Amino acid sequence: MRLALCLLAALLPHVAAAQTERPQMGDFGLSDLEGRTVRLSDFRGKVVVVNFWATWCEPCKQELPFLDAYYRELAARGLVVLAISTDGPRTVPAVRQIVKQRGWTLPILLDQDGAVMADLNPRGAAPYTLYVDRLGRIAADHDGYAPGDEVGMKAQIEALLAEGEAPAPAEGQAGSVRVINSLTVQSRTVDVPGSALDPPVDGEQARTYQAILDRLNIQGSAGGLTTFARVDAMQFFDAPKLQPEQPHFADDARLERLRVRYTLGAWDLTAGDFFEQLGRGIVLSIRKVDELGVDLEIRGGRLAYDGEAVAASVFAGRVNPANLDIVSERFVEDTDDVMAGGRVAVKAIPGVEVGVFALHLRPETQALGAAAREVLGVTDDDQSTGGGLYVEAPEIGGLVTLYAEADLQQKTIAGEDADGRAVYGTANLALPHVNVLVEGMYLDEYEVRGSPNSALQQAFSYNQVPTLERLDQIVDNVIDFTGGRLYVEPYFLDGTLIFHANGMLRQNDPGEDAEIRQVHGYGGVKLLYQDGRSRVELSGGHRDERKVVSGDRFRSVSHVELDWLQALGGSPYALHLQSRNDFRSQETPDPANPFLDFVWSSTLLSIDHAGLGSLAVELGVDTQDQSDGAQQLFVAGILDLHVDEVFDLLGVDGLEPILLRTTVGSQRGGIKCIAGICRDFPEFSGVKVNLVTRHTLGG
Amino acid sequence: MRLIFLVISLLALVGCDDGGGGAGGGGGAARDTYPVEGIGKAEGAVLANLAFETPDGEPLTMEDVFKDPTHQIMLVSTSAGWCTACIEEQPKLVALHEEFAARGLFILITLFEDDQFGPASARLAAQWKERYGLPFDVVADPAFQFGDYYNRELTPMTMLVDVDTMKILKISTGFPESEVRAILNAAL
Repeated sequence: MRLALCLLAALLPHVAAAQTERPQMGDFGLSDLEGRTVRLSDFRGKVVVVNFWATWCEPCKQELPFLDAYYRELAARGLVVLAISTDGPRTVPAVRQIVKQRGWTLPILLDQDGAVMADLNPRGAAPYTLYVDRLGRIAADHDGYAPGDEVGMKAQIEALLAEGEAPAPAEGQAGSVRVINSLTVQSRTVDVPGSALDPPVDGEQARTYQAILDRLNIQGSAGGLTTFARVDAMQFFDAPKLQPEQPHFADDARLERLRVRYTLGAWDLTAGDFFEQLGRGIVLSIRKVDELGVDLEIRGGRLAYDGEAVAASVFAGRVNPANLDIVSERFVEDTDDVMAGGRVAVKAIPGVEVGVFALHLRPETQALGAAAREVLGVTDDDQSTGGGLYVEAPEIGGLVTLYAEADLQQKTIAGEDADGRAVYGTANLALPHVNVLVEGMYLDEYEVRGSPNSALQQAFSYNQVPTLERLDQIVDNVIDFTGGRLYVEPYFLDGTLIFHANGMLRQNDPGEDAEIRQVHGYGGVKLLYQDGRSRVELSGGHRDERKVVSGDRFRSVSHVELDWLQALGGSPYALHLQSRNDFRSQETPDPANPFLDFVWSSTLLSIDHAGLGSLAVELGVDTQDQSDGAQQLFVAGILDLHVDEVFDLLGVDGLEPILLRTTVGSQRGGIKCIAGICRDFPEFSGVKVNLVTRHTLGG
Repeated sequence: MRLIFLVISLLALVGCDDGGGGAGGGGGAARDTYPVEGIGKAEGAVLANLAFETPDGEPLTMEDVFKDPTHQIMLVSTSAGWCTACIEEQPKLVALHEEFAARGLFILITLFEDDQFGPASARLAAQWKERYGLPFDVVADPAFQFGDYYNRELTPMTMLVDVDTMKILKISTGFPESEVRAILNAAL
């Protein structure tokens, strides 16, 4: 019933939606690459394009040159483009490199903790573009990029510029509400052993169930006040009833996120759920990683001041994980871990920032349960207190950017005290036609462990340590490692022909019998052509992992990737081929066959239509499981459709954005990693329909 | 005189025994009967008297572990031939064994599948023990009895059990080394 009400609340406004007033865009402030704070409200009277992108997002990097060109061409007529990088601590060093390499002049803003994305782009889409008129109202938005979309982008900008000079911004403008709803309906089959069922069923191996999952985001703004609420609802049909000890499926509907944020000049006050990151994420990184279903926020209060010479923030609250783990679809219990912290940064020398930060954490659920604490006589509660110092010096002499951070921690786990230490540094050298990045990390027992994640049966980790590894590589989640990385990127033809070579050396558990040495070398070439509408990238490499004590190799992977997007002449169509192939080898205990070789591969072939969507076939191969009857080949069809655009073509215009994604078939599961956070995805087999609608309730 | 000292020493030793059943107490009440009350699969419950197969093909039961007075804490690690995270864990377990075995730690590797995802066997247990030079017990669990204690997709699982009571102290997927060390230090 509650699910039905949620769905009704989500769909009714859309059904009723006529072309409503444009909603007011809430104000925000973010640092640019020079450390200056840039606010949306600085640009009242201008047309502002706000674009969310990331260094790991290829469509974003293909779209941004067009926005940069429009910015150069139309700035004199009142256009501003704000390109907000959503890169987290592990990829943010690459932002400056790309901007230099491509020669972009548009303002680049950093949203490392995802706070602005949470308000304006709660689904975390990339790229995602908002068009803001001269009165600070959202005139339109757009998800994704396909070759040809730039035509519509420019038309949108021209139309807004043509609306003419704006009247003086009124004080106390009326508020507005935007609603974004994501509804997923699916029927899928999951592997469930009969012994895990309640009651156990002998011989059962798999179960097919249906589910409706709905996420309703409601965002309102009026002047400097921004509000946000999210309701999650889930209803399962024929889902397997599991033993009480197993992470379970649960029908539920609840107010998952609630936030009120008030911005006044350099001050920002937040009450409710918010993201937070300290430094490069070693001490704290609570941010959403949508691709992996990581969804944590802090529920409490945060006060921040961001002045020209000093920036500071204090916060306190309880950690609030999303109760539906979107990957496993199992229920996640609330943790209620308490944390408090703060940060002070001084910008005493122009372009140089020096800061300190600290965090105190008290997990609600102890490493030892009550019974175990009684058995072992443990009385001290788990806790950790950590802090760090950082220095950031961007653009020294226009060539070198430095970042250095040192952190210390004291923690108590199961009544035992221990210390943690970390040192991290990066140096970027931007020479003509070549970028060089050097990165180093020393981590010694530094971890920020919370209560257990009931879906994963392991403790939440509230930090994200830079891993030195390639973004998509499997990374062992160890708390002791030392290593370094060298990245060299020569580029030519205005940054449209790019070569790159990387070398990484990492020692896990250095000095111990379990020490593992990882060496990873990889490189590639990328070419953008047809004025940036087409691209081809080929890359590959080899990673070797050895036990240091014996010198034996125990795991290796050779990988090859191809990403080829071919725009078809001047038509709105493009062909897209993406292929990722891992040739893996790993040690086995069998002396007769000391290594098991297998392949993990995913290939996606699609035809894209600018503005309308795409139709794709995905082919997956996984030969690791070589037992009889094991599925090694996976085939799925995926249809992405901008439904409102389809209706527009049919002569029905005025519909607000509706995105439809339909997946039919089977998809390979396995470990997927983004910037060092890895999740083991279950295989998918079945039918899934996802419908995203956005609408405005008032102006 | 020597006899007097001997008697005093014995009395002192007896006096040192706190008589408690705690894991750090160096052994408590005689472990004659395997506990049957409160058996379950979650933390705080009593571990069922499961049986496994040793590399020699002999059975090893939880009752065998329980009845050995030198065992204070049992660490169970579920492993499989295809699981590289499990392989990485082995030297860490050896280090734990070297540090804590004399204080009462009993480590048990339970293998449930081989590298081809087939059921584990006594032969696999023997291979595993030899390949990684393990000084502790490795057994086959072809029925994957421990698969009911956690989400098996997240192997390995690490379980800590207080052998005096056979109560499950901790279940975690992966190998949370700092947590395990802290618990062992507290318990032993």
